[in-house]
Amino acid sequence: MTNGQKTTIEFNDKIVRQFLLASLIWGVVGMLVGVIIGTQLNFWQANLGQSWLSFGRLRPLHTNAVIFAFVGNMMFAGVYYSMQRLVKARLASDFLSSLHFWGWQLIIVAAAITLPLGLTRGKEYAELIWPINIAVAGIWVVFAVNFFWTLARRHEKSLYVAIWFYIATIITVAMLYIVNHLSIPTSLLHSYPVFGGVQDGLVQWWYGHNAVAFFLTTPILGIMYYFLPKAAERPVYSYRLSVIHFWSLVFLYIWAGPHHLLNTALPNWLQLLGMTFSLMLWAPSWGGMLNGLLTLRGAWGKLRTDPVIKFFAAGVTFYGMATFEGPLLSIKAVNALGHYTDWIIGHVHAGALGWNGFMAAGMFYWLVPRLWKTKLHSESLANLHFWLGTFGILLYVAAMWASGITQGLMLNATAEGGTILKYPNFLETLNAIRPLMLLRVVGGALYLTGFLIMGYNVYRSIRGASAVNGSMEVFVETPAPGDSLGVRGTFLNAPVVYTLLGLTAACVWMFTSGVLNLLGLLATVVSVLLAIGHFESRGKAWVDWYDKLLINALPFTVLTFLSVAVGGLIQIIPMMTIDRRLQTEDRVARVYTPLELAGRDLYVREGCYNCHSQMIRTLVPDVMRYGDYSRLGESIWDHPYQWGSKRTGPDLARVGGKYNHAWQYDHLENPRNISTGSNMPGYTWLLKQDTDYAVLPAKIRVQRMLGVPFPNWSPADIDRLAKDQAKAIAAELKAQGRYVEPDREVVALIAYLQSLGQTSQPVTPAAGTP
Amino acid sequence: MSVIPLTVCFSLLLAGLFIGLFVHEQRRRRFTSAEHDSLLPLAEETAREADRRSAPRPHVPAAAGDADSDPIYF
Repeated sequence: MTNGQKTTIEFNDKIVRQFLLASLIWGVVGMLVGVIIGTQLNFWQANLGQSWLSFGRLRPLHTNAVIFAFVGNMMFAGVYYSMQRLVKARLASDFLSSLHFWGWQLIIVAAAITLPLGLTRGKEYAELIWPINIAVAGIWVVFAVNFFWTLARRHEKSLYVAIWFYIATIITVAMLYIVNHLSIPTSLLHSYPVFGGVQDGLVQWWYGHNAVAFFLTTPILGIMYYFLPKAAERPVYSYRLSVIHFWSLVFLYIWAGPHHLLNTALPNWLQLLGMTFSLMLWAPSWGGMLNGLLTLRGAWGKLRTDPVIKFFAAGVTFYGMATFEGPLLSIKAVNALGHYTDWIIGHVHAGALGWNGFMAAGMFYWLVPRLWKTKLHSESLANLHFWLGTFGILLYVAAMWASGITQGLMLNATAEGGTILKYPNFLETLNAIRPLMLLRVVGGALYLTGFLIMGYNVYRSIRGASAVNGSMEVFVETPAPGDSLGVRGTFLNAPVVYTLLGLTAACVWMFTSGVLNLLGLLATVVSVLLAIGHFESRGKAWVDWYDKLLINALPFTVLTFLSVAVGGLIQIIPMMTIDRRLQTEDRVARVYTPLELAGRDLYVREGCYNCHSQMIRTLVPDVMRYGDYSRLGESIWDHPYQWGSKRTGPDLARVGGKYNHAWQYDHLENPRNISTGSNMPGYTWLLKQDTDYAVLPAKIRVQRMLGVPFPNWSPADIDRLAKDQAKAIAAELKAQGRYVEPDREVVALIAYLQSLGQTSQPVTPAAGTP
Repeated sequence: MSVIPLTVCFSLLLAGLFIGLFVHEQRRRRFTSAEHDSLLPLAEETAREADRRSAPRPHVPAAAGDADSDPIYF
């Protein structure tokens, strides 16, 4: 084909249709599970006594289904539809597209089977077991190859802003996912994460927070930048603002992970970095939101008539609201009130339901008539969906705000001049928010109803309609030799040099003290002033370089990767390279006995971390309620760490020895035996199932590989030690009037719970530990 | 009535200037521009039935190695 020749391309829209329908179906599943577990929080009987329906196992299914199945499939539909048109090329490989689709669905089905069975890694949004992790990484590579291959074959030289966000998504999610899922298997279905304690917590929230950033935000922003102009029939409000939006967002987001660990044992410099960068995120987030909303300038009249515009306008508004609330919650003082409470649940649902759900709905309503060459069956039903959804979100979020703030205030309240807790009984604070927890279910059910209405509307729209693929006439243009930036052009230019200079100076400022600290501050200010001066005098050179960067996908990708990687490297590498035995403060946990380790794996299997933290914060009310604040050394051997992120029940960091075995037994059998008004489910199956001792040697061998100082026991030693301890606990239970076989799982779990908070003296590398 | 030759003269000068600037702009190496890029989502397209059998196929790239069919950009 010769240069300048016109040709017609037909897009692969079949794959878009497939992902769209899959997203609809999984969206209903994920939200339905959400409503079910919300109901269980109000009515503990709603799990029907079945282990696979219990809250701790279904909550990971809910989060994974909504994030990876609903939003994931929606994202792939939006990315594939828009990128083909923006780069004016059909997807490079139909085979890879199909492999991507079916592979992703297979992963979701595998997750839907394994999570209710209790097969989990015990880390939030990273629960899937290691064989599925490998499959996810493989399918993500398929997506990446298909995407970049298509980019390489594009007929439009310049990369539109949506493509930038897609590039950032693909490379960053790959990086985050791989690092946070590094594990050593103990069997086909079980593994331990390679990181433990604070390192695991830091990596987890570097991943967890940026799963929100780069899975739920950046791809949807790309979708916003494509579909909002399409629906409004006008270009984006400010293309130059989108440049600032993109680079500042991808650079800043990655640093914010530690705000999930504020006031904990995490080193203070990391907490401050997390808080500071979270606050800085206000600017790009709101810049992006305003850019989206102002795209509707002159088209606001459509808001009254076009459901697509309604969903997009509300979705972008919720993005603004959620990204205002996120930095607010990252302020340490606010976090002291809101963390571990329903306020966080309200915050994430404002994002998930309002931003992701409404952007998905807007996109689906816009796409369906175009992908099937038909009219939407009913605009009235779409409008009904919008109002049901909006009302549902507001009810949900308002209930969670009120619930979170109420419980936070009650948990932190003191009396008698601050010498005692005003509400020492945790259940009192739980029962105070029960009506709000019920309102949450109503709000969620309304939102789900709206979604079901959309499913029906889509079904009626496409029934009998014929699927169509878009096609476009394009001019074939051969790349000119001068188009390439090369290595020199990529790095040796004013924007990159000044950015590196400023970042280096800021690092000196952040990480040093005394004279160097002042010099760092001075150098940072000078770097910024020099950059502004250079931009003012040679602005055209900056613009020309950026224009050229936009036709160079590889250099663009490299610079994006460096922007997102630097934050993680600066935060994580110091924590990884320092000897973890020096990060113990004044206490270090003793190593678990074999039976306690078995019990700990049951704790993880049942998803206890979804409702119980193991981290007493450095806050007076926490210390008054749960005991001395948690030290880094107390979770040093925990693979995975179990600090938790929500306290539907009380913290368990120092529960060991607080009650006798009979109390724990009765509480696990039916919490209301002990705690009147508790909403915790009973774990009756633990009283019937046997502990799997046979897997312990493999588990302890892996723990030793990970640096946990278990003695070099033989398998026979491990078996004997576990069974001896189980017999001792069973005997003690018998003495307390509870009759149970020593081999039952409940005995192992009691052994673990009674070990929590049991510490010994700090050890040093010189102490000869392995 | 010297205004007519004066107007013609200025008009020609302006026209010449515009032509000159236009040619200069056309010759200048432009990689892209924000104005151009921001309009990309609004490109026109047409719909074709997805499951047609006998209709002539439009150009569909076969594989990455099909160097004649598509440009390669990185």
